[in-house]
Amino acid sequence: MNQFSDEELVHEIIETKDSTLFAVLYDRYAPKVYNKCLGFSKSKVEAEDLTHDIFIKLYVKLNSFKGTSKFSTWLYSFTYNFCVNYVQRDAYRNKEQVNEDAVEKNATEVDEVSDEEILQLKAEKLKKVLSIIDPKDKMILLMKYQTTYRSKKYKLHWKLVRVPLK
Amino acid sequence: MDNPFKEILHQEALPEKLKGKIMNDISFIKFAIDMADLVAVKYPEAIDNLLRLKEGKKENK
Repeated sequence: MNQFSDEELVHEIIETKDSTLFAVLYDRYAPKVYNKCLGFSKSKVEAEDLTHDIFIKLYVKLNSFKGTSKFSTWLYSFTYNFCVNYVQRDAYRNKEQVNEDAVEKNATEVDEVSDEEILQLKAEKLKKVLSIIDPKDKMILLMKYQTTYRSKKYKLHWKLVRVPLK
Repeated sequence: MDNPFKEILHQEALPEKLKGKIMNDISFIKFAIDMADLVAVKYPEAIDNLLRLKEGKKENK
């Protein structure tokens, strides 16, 4: 089983719905997903719950993986989307009302920020900033600066936050 | 230049107990899907085949 590529493994799981094969997939990706969830959650317990929910949803939605990209890329995007939805839902539950006028005003006032300026930020300050900004913007920044992730969706998001794309 | 985004990457170990919890839930989901398939698809198919078989025998008589 371990010599299977990710894509072969996923294909087998879709065909057989075998939970032992899914366990192999879990072993390969759970640490990465968990650490990604930690970046979006306030505590380890919350990150564990997120990881749990992601893998349950993954099992059910696995047949939507069409093999157009590498499985790792697809899972990465799946995880990010799940986490962003979770954070936004959480914010909504806490009844944090966003003043749309203020958001629009801010959007028009945003100047282009160079890579150098962003990379000069200190890690602690960066953590604080990332916890304040909109989860979607956070997702885009992490995708660009934390990984080498590239996709059409990411590029589309990129245009919306007006940060230079290289 | 150091990338601060790389510095804030988490490198925590995954709790072992999580796997058991997830695999239990996966097994339950699989069981639920199989049961639904049995009751909603397999049983009706079997009854349908049985009735056809009986109708066939009557016609032969």
